[in-house]
Amino acid sequence: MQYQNPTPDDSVNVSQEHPLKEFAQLLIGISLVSLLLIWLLSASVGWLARFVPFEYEQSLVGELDINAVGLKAVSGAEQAKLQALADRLSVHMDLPSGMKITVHYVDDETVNALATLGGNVVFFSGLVNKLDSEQSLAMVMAHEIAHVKLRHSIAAAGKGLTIGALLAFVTNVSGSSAGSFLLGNSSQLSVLSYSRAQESAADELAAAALYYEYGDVAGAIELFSFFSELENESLLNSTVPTLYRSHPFSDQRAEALRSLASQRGWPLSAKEALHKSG
Amino acid sequence: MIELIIVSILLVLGYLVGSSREKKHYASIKEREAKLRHIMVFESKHVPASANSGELVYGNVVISTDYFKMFVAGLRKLVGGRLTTFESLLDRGRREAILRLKQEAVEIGASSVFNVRFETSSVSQGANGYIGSIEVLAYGSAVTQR
Repeated sequence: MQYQNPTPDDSVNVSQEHPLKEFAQLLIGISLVSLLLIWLLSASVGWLARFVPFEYEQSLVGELDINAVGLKAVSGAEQAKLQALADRLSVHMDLPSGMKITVHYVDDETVNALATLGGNVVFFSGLVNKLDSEQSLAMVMAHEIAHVKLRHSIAAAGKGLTIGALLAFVTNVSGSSAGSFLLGNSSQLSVLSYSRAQESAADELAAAALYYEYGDVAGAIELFSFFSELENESLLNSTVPTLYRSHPFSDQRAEALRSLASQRGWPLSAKEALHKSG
Repeated sequence: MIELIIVSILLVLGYLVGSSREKKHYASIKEREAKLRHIMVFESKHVPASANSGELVYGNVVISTDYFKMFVAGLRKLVGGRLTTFESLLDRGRREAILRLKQEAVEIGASSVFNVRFETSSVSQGANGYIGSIEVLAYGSAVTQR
């Protein structure tokens, strides 16, 4: 028996679709869905956070032992003065009853300050030593108090939990590292964008408090130009695009403050306040 | 952000190198298929009466995926559907295995191979993001004619 072996069409078992087309479709499709999902989760958790009673936050944190997280909290003249500043500014910030601000002063060269759960605010000596005037320090304090008032810490904690759970489900159930990479990046972008919005909101409240206490917002202007200098000093810091920043660029914050000040009629300096009529 | 940059570089590298190697492999496959067209392979167990002697021959090949293919497969795992990036991998593997089988047959002077079977296994199981690879084995009885 004679057998023949003709050349068959060899492309039957391979898809003719270009791999890049499939890649683009999957990437865009899944990115959009995950961004939407994360935005929905973040928005609802952020909105629900305000219903968590402040007492719950306080009991969650208990007597915050800063030393337990490896930071050296010192009590003394600095801590007392910072606490006094916080109490003075709190009067202007219309805090709900039961919301108390507790200031911790840490002897560390980190140039930063933060607000966390239960009304606890931490100031690092690095920041305090670098600021030249009480008013710029007051702006930082008012900003952190604003975070507490706006319940940003509990909202962030809630979001962290829900998005973390979503990520864990996707990673463990699908076993898809590409999927969890994509979801992880989408959630990072979403969290950072929400963080920037929170910072702007805190800036607004803080500037108002500054105006009521000092009669002008010079402290805020001074603070943002100081931050701007710090940003420009570090090449790494200044090249990170806005999308990946937890705070807006300090120039943008100053810009936003100026337009807010002109809207509300807040003087930008003591001189301006002096010459202002009425 | 650094992670994003690294992954993008790996993707571009994986895609460019992977698709270029795939094209070269297919060209080589087509060339050898034309050369070895005179060796017949049959799935049938029935060996003709004119057969003189027989010997087991096999062709074996292991091919690895690239970062780009694994990434697309990972995304596809979330939504389901045809994994087209892996189709070409398996196609190449099977055709290469058959070609190596035929090559062995040529070396022992056989003109046809009967009872050809495939075995595909996945080395390293492609567990959770590790670069997976496939092994294809094709074996059969090579028969020399009297």
